[in-house]
Amino acid sequence: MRTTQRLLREPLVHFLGIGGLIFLLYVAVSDPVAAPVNTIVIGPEQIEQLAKSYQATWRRPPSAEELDRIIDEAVREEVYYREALALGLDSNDTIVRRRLRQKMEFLADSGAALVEPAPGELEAYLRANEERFRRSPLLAFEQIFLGQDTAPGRSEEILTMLRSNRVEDPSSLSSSTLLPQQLGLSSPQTVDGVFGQGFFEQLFELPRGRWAGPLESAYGVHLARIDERVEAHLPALAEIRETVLRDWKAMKAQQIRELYYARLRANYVVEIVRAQNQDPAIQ
Amino acid sequence: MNNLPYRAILAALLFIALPVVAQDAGTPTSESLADAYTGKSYSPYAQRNFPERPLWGDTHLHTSLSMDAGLFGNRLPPTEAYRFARGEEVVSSTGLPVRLSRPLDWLVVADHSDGMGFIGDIATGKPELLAYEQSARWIEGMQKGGEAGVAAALDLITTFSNDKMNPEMLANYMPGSKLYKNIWEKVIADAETFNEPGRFTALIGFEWTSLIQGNNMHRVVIMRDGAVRARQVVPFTMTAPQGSPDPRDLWKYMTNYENKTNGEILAIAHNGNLSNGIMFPLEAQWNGKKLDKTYISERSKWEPLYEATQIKGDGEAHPYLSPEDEFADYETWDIGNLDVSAAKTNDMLAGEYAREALKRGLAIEGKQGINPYKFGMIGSTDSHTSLATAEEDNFFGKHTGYEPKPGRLDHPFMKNENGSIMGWQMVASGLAAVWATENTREAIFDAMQRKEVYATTGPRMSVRMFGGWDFTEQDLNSRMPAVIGYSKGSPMGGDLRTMPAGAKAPSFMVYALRDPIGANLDRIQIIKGWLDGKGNIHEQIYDVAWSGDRVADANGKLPAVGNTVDVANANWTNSIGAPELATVWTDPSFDPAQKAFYYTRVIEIPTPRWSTYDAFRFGIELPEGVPATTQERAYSSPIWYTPKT
Repeated sequence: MRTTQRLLREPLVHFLGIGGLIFLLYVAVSDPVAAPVNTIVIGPEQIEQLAKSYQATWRRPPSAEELDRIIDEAVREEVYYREALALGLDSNDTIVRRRLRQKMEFLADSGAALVEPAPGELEAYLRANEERFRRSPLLAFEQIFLGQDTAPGRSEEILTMLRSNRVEDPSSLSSSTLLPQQLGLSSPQTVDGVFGQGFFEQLFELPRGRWAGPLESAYGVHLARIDERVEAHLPALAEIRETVLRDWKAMKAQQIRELYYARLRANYVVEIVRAQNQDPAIQ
Repeated sequence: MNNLPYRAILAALLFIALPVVAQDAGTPTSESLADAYTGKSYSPYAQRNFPERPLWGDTHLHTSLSMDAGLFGNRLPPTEAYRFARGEEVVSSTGLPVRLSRPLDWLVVADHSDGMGFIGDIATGKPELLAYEQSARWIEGMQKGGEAGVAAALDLITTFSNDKMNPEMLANYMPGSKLYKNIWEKVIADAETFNEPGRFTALIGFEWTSLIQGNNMHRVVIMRDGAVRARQVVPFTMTAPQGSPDPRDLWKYMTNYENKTNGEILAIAHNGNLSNGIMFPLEAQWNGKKLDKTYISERSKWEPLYEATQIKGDGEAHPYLSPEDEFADYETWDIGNLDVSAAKTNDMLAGEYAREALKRGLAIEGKQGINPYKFGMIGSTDSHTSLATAEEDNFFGKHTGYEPKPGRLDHPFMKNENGSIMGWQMVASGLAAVWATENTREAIFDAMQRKEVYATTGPRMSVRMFGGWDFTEQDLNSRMPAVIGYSKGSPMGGDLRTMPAGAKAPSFMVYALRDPIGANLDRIQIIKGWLDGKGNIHEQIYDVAWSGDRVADANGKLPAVGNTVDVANANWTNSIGAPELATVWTDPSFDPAQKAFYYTRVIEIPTPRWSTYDAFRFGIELPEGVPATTQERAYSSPIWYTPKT
C-alpha cells in the first residue's frame, strides 16, 4: 500500500504516465498516411559541417556511404529535437537548463569583454582597492654573522668597532658563513626564505646606513646595516596598468553579469510558496 | 644573461695577448694583473649578475585537469594549485585546509596531455558529453551524487583501466578538437594570470605520458615562453594518430615548436625506476632498435634534466648497482613497472637510475662521440592533488585518495600478483632548486638549460658546487665564495674548463647550508663516475665534509651522525649535525685520460619520516616495517670532465 502511494508521488512515474498518454493520444488522432506537415532541409553548408566534424574525430573525410549515414543521423536528431521541444521535454531537464543558463551567461560575459575603462576610471579603481595592489617593502642590507650564540657583550663590542669606521672590511669580523653577506633590494619573502622567518621584520626596524643589532636568524646572531629601503607602497598606475586592468575587467564582468540578470529578473514576479510549518532552512 | 662568457673571453684574450704585452711593457706579474682583474667593484651591487640564492619550485604538479587526478577525486583546478604554491591557504579536495610552510618561487602545472580536462567536464556535466552513452551515464550518476556518484566514478575508472573508453568521446580531449584547444587556452591563461615576474613564476608546460606495456617513459615538457607562443601549439599526446609513445616523436614535436614559434622548450624524464629498464638504454631503444646517432644527439639536445626524486620513489641510486654506497637504498620502489603489470628483475636496474645513467652516458659517448645522458638533476613532487607538498610534516600524498587520514599508511597503493606498494611507501619528495639570476620564466628556463639546478627530497638546503683546477681553502673563506667560484671554475651542471698545463687534478669547492627551518646537515659527499680505458664504467663515493669530530674507520667509513628523533612525539632537535658544511676537495685518483663526472650529495641528520607524523597526529601505530626516520638529501647536477683530444 505504502509502496503504491510512494510510486504515485514519484515524478518519473508521472512522467512515464503522461508520456504514455500523449503517445496513445497521438497514435489515436494521427493519420499515418497523411502528408508530413514539417519540412527539414539539410543544406550544403550543414553537410559540409557534418563532414568536417567527422574528419576532426577520425582524421579522414567520410566515405559517401558514411556521409549518408551521418546525414540520416542528423535528420533523426532534428526530428527528435523538434518533437522533444513540442512535448516540452526540455523544460524539466537539469542538464538542458544548465546549458541554457550557461549560454545566457556567455552572452553577458562576451558583452563584458568589450568594455574598456573610461579615462580616470582605472586610477579611481586603483585608489579604491589600494590593499590589493600594494607592494611589499624591500630592503638592501649587509650583514655579519656572529655565530650560533655570542658571549655577553660581544655583539656590542663589535658594533662599536663597526661604528667607529675603523674597520675596512666588516666581513673580516664575521664568523665564516655561507649566508650571503649582502642582499640587494629584497622582499620579506626572499629575506625570510634565506635567513628564516621573522628576520625581515627585525631588519626593518633598523636605521639606514648604520650598523645595528644584534638580530636573530634561524642560524644565530647577526649585525646588519641597511643600505637601502623601500617602504610598502602603492605603485603608480602606469607601472602596474596591466594588472589593474585585468582585475578591473574581472570585476566589471561580474558586475555586468549581475546587472544583466537583474534586468531580466525585473520582468518576473516571483512567488515562493511554502507549505505551512515548512522550515525555511530546508529550502 | 650574465658576464661569465664575457669574462672567459677576457681571460682568453689576456692569455693570448701576454707575449705581445711582454714585448714593450715588461712582463706583468700576477700581482699587477690581480689588481687589474679583481672582479671587485666599488658598488657592492655591481656584480650581481650571478644567482644569489636558489629559487624553489616544482616542475611536475598535476591538477584536476589530469585524467587520473580527476578520477581519484581531485577537484582543484590550476588556479588553486598556483594560489597554494604562492603561499595561500586552500582547501584540499577532501576538505582539509592546507598551506605551505613558505611559498614556492615558481611552479610548472604539468597535467597529462592525453584526455586533459575530461574528468572535470564529467564532474560539471559538460553538455557536449551528453552525446555519448558512457559520459552521459557518468554525468547522470555524478549529478545524482551519493551512492550513484560513487558508482559512476567506479564505473568510469573500470572503463578507463580496461581501455574501454569510447574513442570518439575521448577524441574531444585530444589534439584536433575544439574542446581540447579551449582547455589548453585556459591552462595558458591561468599561467599568465599567476605569472608575476620577480615574485612568482608560472611556467607553461604539460606531461607527455608515454607508457609501453606499463613501462614508464614519461616526460614533463616545459616552455620558456608566454601565451603568444604557447597558443600556437597544443600539447603532444601519446595516443595515435596525433600522438605517439616514441620519444623520438616527442623530440620532433619539440623541434617543430621551436621552428614554428621561435620559442624554446625542454623535456624532463622521470620515474626511470618504473620503466623496467627502458628509461636509459645502453644499446637498444624501447622498441628493440639500436641506439643511433639521431637518438643520442636528440636526447642530449632536448633533455637537459632528469627528475631524480619524487613521490613514486627516489631514483638517484639503487643498492644493487651501488653496493658500496651506504645511502643508496633510499625510498626505493623496485617491485615492477608503473602499474606493476610486470615484475622487476635485477638486469633492468641499470637502465633506471640516475647515477648509472650518468655512467652509461660516458660509455656511449666513448663509443659514439655524444653523451645522451648528460643531464642535471632536479626533484619534483608529481603530486596529483594540485598541492605541491614535499615536506615530511605537511605531506598530502600522491593523489586525493591518499590525502591525510588515519588509514592511508597501511592501505595498498598498488597491488597485484607481482607485489604491492603500500600507502606508507609514498615518498614526501621532492623539490627543484634553480640557480637563476632572477625570478622570471626566461631566467629559470635558462638555468635549467645550463643545468645549474639541484634536487632535494623536500628540504630547502642551499647547495653550491664549483669545479676548477686551483680552488683553495682561502677561496672558501673569502667574502663571497660564489664570486670566486664563478670566476675560477664552473658551477654545477657545467664542464670543467680545459686542464691547464701543470695542473694535476680538479678541485671542487662545495658548500651547503641547512634549510632555515629545517634540520642540520650530516655530511657532504662527492660522487665520481668515470670511464676507464677498457670501456668499463665505475663509481666512487667520497665523504668530503661532515659535522663534528667524527673520524673515519680503517675502511674509510665515517661513523653515523646519531639520531635525536623522538618517534612517539614526531620530534627532533638540531643538537647534532652542522648548520653549514663546506670544503675544497681535490680528486685523489684523477686520470686525465678518463672521462668523468662529479656531483654532490648532501645528507641531513635523521628527522621523522612523514609516516611518523601521521602516526603521532592520528594516534595510530606505525605499520610493521615502516622506517620511523629519514635522512633527507640533496643531489646536485654533475660537473663533467672530458679529456682533451
